[in-house]
Amino acid sequence: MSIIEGLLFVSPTPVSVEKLKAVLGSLTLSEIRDYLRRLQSVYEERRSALEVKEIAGGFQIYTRPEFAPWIGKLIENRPARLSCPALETLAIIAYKQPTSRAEIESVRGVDSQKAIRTLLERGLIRVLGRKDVAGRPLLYGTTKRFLEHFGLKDLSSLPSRTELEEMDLGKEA
Amino acid sequence: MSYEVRLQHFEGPLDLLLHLIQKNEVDIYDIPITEITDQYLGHLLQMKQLNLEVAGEFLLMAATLIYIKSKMLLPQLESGEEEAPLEDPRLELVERLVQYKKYKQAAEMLEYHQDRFQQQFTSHPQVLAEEPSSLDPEVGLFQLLSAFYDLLRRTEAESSLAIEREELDIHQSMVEILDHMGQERSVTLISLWGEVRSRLRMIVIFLALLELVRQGILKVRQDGHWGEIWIDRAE
Repeated sequence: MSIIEGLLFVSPTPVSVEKLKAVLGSLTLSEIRDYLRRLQSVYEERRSALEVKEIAGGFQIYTRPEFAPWIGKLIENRPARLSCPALETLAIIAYKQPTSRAEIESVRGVDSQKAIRTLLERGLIRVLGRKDVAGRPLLYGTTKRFLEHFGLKDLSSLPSRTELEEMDLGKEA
Repeated sequence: MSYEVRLQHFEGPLDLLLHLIQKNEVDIYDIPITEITDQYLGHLLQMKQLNLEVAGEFLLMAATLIYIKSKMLLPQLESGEEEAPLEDPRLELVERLVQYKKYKQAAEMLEYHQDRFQQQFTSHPQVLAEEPSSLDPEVGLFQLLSAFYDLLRRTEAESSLAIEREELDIHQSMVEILDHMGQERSVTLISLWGEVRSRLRMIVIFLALLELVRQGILKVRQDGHWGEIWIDRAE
């Protein structure tokens, strides 16, 4: 288990279970997952500042959000917040992918060229191909970077439509 | 003493409508069209008064609202024996609003996750930097047009009293571009226009360039996002 901890600690990106197996050889995938769960329990028991987070199809060690005030003082906090139009566009792409610019604009009711460009430049979305209709428009989808930016495990961990409605985010529409 | 009026910003007409619906505490499935249309138009008027640019989409929605309102005011025609009841003219709009609202909530959810996750740190932080965008055809054309538009604007308007009949020959321009390149493999985009000041001629040269690219004779590339644009011979 400690070996896994060491591996997660040094990795610059989330490590998949498969990659861990490649290093550890003798263990099965489910055994590895077991160790990861145990590691997380250990952290919780000791009330560690660290936690094992499943993100973007892999695992990585992060500090818990509660410690942000202190850590923020030591490390320069990366601002990287997306604008409203970008978030709206991204939400549409995330749920409807693959989707075209026309589809996005029909939902938002406004021109979305700039938002799409921004998201492409930041690597949060990518071109998946072209739609087989007149004009052959480009189709967009989210990337691994997208999952990493929002701290998501995978696309299925996005709340479903009904869950969205029930969610109380304390914000006004 | 100046008096500043601040108007709430909306992402688009749907956003504004949702706000009005919520503010008036009405049922989204039974919108009082007259009231909402009046308030919507009132907001647009305020925007104009504050010299804010009103995007086309807002105007289109205004027209749509007025149209719906007029349809609802017209008396319902007595339909024939088996005809289904006339569709509620608000229906399409309501569907759009409901759908937009869903994704707006999804966006808020994403923002929540984003903000929360940014409270977590790791030993090798990944910065959401700008990556050089690769091979996106739409971006390439947009940059090209931007550069050309800038150039057009910077050029003083030709104030000529004599109205000449210029020969606007794209083929000739194409030949001239290729001559200009001569033996060079690459030239800058700007150099294509040289000392040309006539806006018409500049546009012709631009069209000639596009035609050469379309025919696969030349290629366009850019250094990074806002860097110099180069024209290359396609081999």
